[in-house]
Amino acid sequence: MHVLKIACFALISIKLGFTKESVFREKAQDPTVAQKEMVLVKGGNFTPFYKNANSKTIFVKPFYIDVHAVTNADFLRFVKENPRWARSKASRLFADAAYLKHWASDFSLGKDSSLLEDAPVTNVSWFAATAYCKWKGKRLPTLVEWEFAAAAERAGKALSDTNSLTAFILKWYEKPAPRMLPPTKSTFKNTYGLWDMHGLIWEWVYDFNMSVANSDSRNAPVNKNLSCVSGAVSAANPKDYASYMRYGFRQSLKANYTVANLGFRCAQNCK
Amino acid sequence: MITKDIFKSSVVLAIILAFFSCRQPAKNNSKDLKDTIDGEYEAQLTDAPKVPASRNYERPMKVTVHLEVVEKEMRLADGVTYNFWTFGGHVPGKFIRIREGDEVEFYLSNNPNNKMPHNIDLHAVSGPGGGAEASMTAPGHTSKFSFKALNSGLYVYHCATAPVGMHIGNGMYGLIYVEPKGGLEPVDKEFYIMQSDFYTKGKYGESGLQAFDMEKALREQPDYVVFNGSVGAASGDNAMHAKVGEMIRIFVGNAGPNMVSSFHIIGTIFDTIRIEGGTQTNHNIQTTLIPASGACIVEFSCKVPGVYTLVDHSIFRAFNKGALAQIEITGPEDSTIFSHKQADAVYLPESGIVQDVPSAPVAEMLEERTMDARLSLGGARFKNTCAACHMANAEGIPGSFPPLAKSDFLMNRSDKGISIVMHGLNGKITVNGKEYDGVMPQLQLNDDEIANVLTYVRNSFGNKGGLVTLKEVQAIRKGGKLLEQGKKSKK
Amino acid sequence: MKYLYISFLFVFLVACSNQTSTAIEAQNRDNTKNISEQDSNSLSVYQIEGDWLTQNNKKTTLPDLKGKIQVVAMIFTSCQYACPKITDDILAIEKNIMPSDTDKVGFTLISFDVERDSVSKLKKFAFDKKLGSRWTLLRGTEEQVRTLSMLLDVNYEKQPDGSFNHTNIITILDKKGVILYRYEGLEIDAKAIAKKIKSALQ
Repeated sequence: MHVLKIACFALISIKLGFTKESVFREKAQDPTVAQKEMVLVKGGNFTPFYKNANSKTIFVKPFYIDVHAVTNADFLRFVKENPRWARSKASRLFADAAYLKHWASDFSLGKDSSLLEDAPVTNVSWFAATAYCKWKGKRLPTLVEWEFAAAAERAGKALSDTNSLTAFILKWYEKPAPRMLPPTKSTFKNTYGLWDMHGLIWEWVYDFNMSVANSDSRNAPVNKNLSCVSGAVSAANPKDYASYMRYGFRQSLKANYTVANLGFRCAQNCK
Repeated sequence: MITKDIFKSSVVLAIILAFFSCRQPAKNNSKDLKDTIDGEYEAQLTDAPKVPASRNYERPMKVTVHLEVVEKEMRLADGVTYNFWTFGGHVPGKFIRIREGDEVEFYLSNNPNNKMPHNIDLHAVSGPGGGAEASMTAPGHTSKFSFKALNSGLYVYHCATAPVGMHIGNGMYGLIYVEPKGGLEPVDKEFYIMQSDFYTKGKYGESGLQAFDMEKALREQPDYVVFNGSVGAASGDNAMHAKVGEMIRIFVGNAGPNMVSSFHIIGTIFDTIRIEGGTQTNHNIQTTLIPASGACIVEFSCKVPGVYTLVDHSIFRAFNKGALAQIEITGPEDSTIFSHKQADAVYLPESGIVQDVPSAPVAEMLEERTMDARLSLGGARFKNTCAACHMANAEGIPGSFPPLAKSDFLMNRSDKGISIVMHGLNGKITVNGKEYDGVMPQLQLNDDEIANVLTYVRNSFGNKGGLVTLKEVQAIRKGGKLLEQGKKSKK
Repeated sequence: MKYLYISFLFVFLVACSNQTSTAIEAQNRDNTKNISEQDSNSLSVYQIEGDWLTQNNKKTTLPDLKGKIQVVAMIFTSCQYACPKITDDILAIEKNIMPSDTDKVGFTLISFDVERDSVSKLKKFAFDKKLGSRWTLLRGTEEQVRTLSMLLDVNYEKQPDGSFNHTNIITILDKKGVILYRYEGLEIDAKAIAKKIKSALQ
């Protein structure tokens, strides 16, 4: 019980109880240890891609977020400690049939383990990702937090060079996924010190299902009341296209889906 | 106040939208036994330019369609590759052929290695989004939805995932043909051609892997306009083939995303077109307009052999951006329908040399003449005709027109220069050690005149070549070898 | 602006709701086939743990809903249009259920609005809409609600004015909490759904 008390605005210190039938009954580790691999993103005003007519900007509170995505090695440790999340044990309600399909077995990465260990874990569902975060004493970043953190330019690039990030993102989006994902920290570090926010994998966010826009994107302006602010999704700015694709991708998901290039990283509230 | 206006217009818009989104069957509600489902099968899909054979069944059936979305790098032009997003691994996507009244169970799979979510909007579907929302599919998943094919016709399908323009621009489209009850007239050959435009970072032909260029797409300035997904996909070695007289039907689609096609086949006339892929027909058409995300069925036969070129007759696209395809027709010639080139004259009104273009020299009684007679007649002809370029002293103009005086090129020819005067000459030649690269037009001289002028030239200006006889000229005109260069096949 | 949105939604959904509902029902019919093959406990949405509060200020857990077929929807009580309409739709389903079966079916509404939908707000909503004793209105934490929305495949987003954009979905759960059918959109066919419930009870 009380498994879901670590809400968006709640503190992480709330104790987790667990019972037999709980979805997320993972025992939380000491969160202070975990914070070592995180950076603090000082909040600020953020203009979301899908604007509402009555909301121009959102204030994002400060939060911690993992420096890099959760790796296969990380997730293997989690599964070993929480065997109910093993490939063969997880309910289809919480992870579809492709869950961890790139692993050799429930508790083994197989012959490619040396390559897989440092690569981001993929083929994980939202439920599995959420359970992992719980276990770490963390949570998934919200959509707005993730977008806020991901909007930062590449470290060392001039601020005026913003188009280069867009071009980088679009180029990555266009290509099919490689057979074997490269390790984390292999693409670029942004100005917050976060690695691979683009160019390695897609990442789960806590409230990915917040988008009510019809998944037939052409109806989005109708459903989302965007007809009067159509500039916001106008094709005039290619940067919007990169966002469009991320939002489109999220719309295709359900929480039990697993996808070959969809992983996650954890976030944490700032006390 | 503005809000109110927006509100009003939005309601109107919404009503219109709802109206269009929810087309109801206007007819076909008859409970006639003939309209009830009778059996089921899995649709066999084909890659362009192939079309699945008509199954031509009496009553509608349940049809299962499996289509997989694959993102992959493929050839866009020689030396140029592109990250295509495809329905079925090729561009355009698989051709789907069903029948009016069929109930279709559609499975859209998104390959696990793909990066993007995808869906499908089939214009043959009556329902919101044409199935787009119902088929929204994450990588590694399969969506299923069903629809009834209420209207016959040739329809485009495409991906409608955000950003739609990019998904179409990257190759996500194909055709679905809903055959009318009773089918179409049988024909000898059926083909599938789909036009589309591509926008690349590099210019047309710039080698290497080319990325999608959103700026160019927004400006609607494609680098490539192609048939069947790449430059040369349906020409040269990949050309379609048919025989003389065979009735050919082409299912033509235009995916856009931006360009409207002026679809034309060089050298034939469409006997019948099914306008915009619908039920209305038109006949004896040269060029038909196919809108972006529209289609057309064209039917024709080629009466004489040769290579027939399909183009978007917005013609710079055809010759500069790739919008060419070819059908090679084999079989017997029929000169009553088309003769190929029979004559070609330079038309130079100001010089007064050649006025008329008889298809062949007029047949007249000609006689051999004496050397003196030919030198005299030939001299006059030379001044009127040849001296304009070769100069009155026959020395020519260095670098432009070769000399005839003491010309090794002329004097060493076994045909005495007859075929040159008769057919013209073009290309590089070397005369007295100097290279010339120009064109000598074919001269409309009869055989007697040719004998005259050559006799004159070959015995003047220091040349010693003897008489050129009428017989020799006639022999060259009838003879095989040297005559070939006058005949050109149409390409 | 909200009217603008609602007007679109209204025309759009009313015009097209029949098709939408049918499609989702068919999709879930396939799911029911598989359920017998799997451990239905592991497919129960009642695995979301934690305490919830009812409109009667009673602490409860989702497994307490077991034993009855449940007709479930997610709403917020200050909603002007869609949520009252969904509630009316479910009332219509209730009316179409045979008197002999009424004790075997429950009706549950879960609020998106964890901040404003207090117990008394839920109580007032139940009173205003004349929701009888077979109805349960629940409030939980934001994360409980988000997780449930994932399982019921309901999308929602809080608006700056405190209202919610959300998809309109009525879900039928079996006695163990496994999803039997989902109906998306407003203007559902209450009689047809009541029939489905009746056959599921047999």
